Amino acid sequence: MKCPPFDYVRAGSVEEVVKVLAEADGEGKILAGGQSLVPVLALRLARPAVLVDINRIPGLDSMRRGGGALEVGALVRHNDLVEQTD
Amino acid sequence: MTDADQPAATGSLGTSVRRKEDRRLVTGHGRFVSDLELPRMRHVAFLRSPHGHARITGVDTSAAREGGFRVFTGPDFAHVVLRARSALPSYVETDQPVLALGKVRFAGEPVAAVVAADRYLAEDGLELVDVEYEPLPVTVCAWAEPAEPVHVDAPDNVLLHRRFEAGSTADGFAGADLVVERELVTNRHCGSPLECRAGVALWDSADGKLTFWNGTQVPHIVRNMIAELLDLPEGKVRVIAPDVGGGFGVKSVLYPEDVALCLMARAMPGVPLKWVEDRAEHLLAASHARDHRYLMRAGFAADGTLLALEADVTCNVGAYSVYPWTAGIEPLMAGGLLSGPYKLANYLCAVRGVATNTAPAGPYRGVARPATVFAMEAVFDEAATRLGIDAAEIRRRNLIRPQDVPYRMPSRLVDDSGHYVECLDRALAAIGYPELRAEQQRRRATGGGPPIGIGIAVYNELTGLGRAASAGPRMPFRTGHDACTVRVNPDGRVTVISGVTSQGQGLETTMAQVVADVIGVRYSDVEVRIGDTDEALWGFGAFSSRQAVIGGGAAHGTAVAVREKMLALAAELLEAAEHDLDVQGGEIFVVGEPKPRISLAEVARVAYLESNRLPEGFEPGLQATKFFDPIRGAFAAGAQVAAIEVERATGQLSILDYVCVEDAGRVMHPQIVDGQIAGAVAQGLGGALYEHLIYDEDGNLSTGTLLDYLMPTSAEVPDLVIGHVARPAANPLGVRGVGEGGTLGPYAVLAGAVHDALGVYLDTLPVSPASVWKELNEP
Repeated sequence: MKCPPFDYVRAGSVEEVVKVLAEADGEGKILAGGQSLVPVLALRLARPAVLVDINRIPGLDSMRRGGGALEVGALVRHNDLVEQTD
Repeated sequence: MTDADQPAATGSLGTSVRRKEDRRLVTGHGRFVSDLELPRMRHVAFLRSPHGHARITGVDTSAAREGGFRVFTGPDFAHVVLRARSALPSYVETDQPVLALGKVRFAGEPVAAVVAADRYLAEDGLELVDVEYEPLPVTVCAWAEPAEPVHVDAPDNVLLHRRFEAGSTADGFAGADLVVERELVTNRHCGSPLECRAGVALWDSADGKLTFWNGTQVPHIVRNMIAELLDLPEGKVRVIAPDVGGGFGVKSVLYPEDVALCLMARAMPGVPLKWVEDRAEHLLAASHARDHRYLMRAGFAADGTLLALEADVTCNVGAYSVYPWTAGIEPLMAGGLLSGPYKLANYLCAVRGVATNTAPAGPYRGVARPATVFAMEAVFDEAATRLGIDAAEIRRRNLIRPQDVPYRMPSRLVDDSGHYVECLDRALAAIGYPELRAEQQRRRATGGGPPIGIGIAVYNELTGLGRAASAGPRMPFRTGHDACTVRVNPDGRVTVISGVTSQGQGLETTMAQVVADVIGVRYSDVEVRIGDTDEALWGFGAFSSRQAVIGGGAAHGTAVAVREKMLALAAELLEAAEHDLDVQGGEIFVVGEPKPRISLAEVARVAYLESNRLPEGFEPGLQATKFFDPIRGAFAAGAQVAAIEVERATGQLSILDYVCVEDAGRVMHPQIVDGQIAGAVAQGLGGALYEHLIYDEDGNLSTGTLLDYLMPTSAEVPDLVIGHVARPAANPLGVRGVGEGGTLGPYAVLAGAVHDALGVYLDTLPVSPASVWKELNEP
């Protein structure tokens, strides 16, 4: 991986993510699984000023059922989705 | 698989002995250039042109230098150019700079190089190099009007043209009942080895010696060229090709990056410089291939006999004439082999290689013939349909037969095979041709199930070219021979130092089999060393399906010489007659006796350590070095047949069965031979269905990653049925080359199968769902 230089913020809350992205004025990118973003960074095809890592935000990796819907959080791993039993 | 410790009495040739290279390769102990780590090593990254064609108006490296980077640009190496030479009358010689000088001719051309502690930092350094460009008009299509000459020496961009002519096509057409005319275009693609290009260069200033670890197919040629380009004594250049992860022709070219690495190393004594190409660089700047157009006009008699063929062939050779093979590599092959395995008296073919603002085109497994076979078979498919003759039958009526051999092709190449009908009929039988035709008719009549199509290709492949056969391109060298050294060590085991190289073909194994059987030792007692120019005397390397024929022939002849010396010595020691002695499993017998008289180990010990027992007149040691050149080549025959289904709604095709039958002569190692055929067919399928390098009008490569440049995976490659017609060739081992033939069939087979299924003519490759759908739905 040979990414161009960028700032890194590990966000603690969704509010912080929104704030950092707003301050970055279009130059910020969210890092979740990195499956698409990281290869593009490695090729230096994307040059975000700041990467906002959302992996440590509590609650985003949970699933909820209710009101006839299944709510899947942005950080739910595919494997957890496959393995979940209820 | 046979165990490596099988008894030698049965011989290892013809059996799938365990490959010598497998233990290290499958346990992760391969030694690739990428694995090489040396003290004080520094890493190189290349800055590449973002323009297809532009004048360089300014280069500012000050920021990078201030940042602590060592930077090289075009003027640093202006005294060195790569100038591929050929004596062909029409050939225009052009220069390829090591780093772009004055202008860039394709997007991806190296413009500057940065040296740093690691590759990551080196790429950061590239961002500090500022190059100003003034864009020039771009030409990407070889049959479009040129916008601006790529090279001043070739104002029309034509670097080479040639006519092939035999008989009178006018007479042929005069007697024809049917004339087929087609314009066929093949898709640009590339070899895509698993390991991209790689090099480590180290200049030892005390010895004045350059060592270049290079993932190359042709280490001796690289040594020769580097020595000449850097003005070094050839003995002071050592090229080492360790394990190489695939080549397919891409790595038989000497690239500007290779030369730059060696020149930079000489400027930085004692510092090993490493460059490992990444996939994006590979798609952009390693050699491309197969960007061709064929204007075909063929005359047939009512019974399907081919009477005349006229062809106009344009090959896009890219921005530079690849070193040292020249821009002639594809056009000359196309004109020479277009008529393939078919009898033809009246032939007129004009070929040209046209420079464009795209990556240089070079050798890629099959060189031009996947395209020529596609062109030829497309003509036969149309003639069969219009004359109402079965597609297999029209081919049978025109193929060169064993009784026609030696057959002088209209390009004057001499075909020594003639086993085409046998290959074709075996392939048709294997796929169940009559049953498939019946099922095809049933579906047509009832509308039950998607349409079935059957595609057929028959091809010949000139392999193992000796000095006479390799003379065509008129380069300043002839690639007909290889050398081999066979050494019986003092313990009676054998070391082979061969000029062959391996990029996965298992040549260590094949050479060991040949030598073990000739000398009469166990396969497990033979080790093979390849790929180091300080060890092997000479080898031209891997290309033109030559190494089993030529390197194998050299190993055979050398082993015979060693065996003769060994038996002469043993005969003296035993006071027996040489012709009464035989060697099996490292033991020397008097013929007819059940027990050995002496071991090879004891004979070898005398040869090296016990001169007191050495008979009068015997030179110590047990070693020989010999060359082999087959003078001519050995044609290999092949036929491929596939059955497909096509979904009319989507244009998607699925392969039901795929059969390939080849005459590879004597099969030395069935598993390796089948692996070569399967790999070649898989690459051919990739070219036929998926792989397509696309430039936009501005010369940008729009298929710059494997997300856009699709390659077949194991999910796309069907189970293959492989058959053999093993007719020995006229060389010491009876072998014919088998490395490339598989790539020759799939374009023709799949395009032909779609025609057979739907009645549409696919004139432009690849065969994609979109192209099939378009033929069905757009008038």
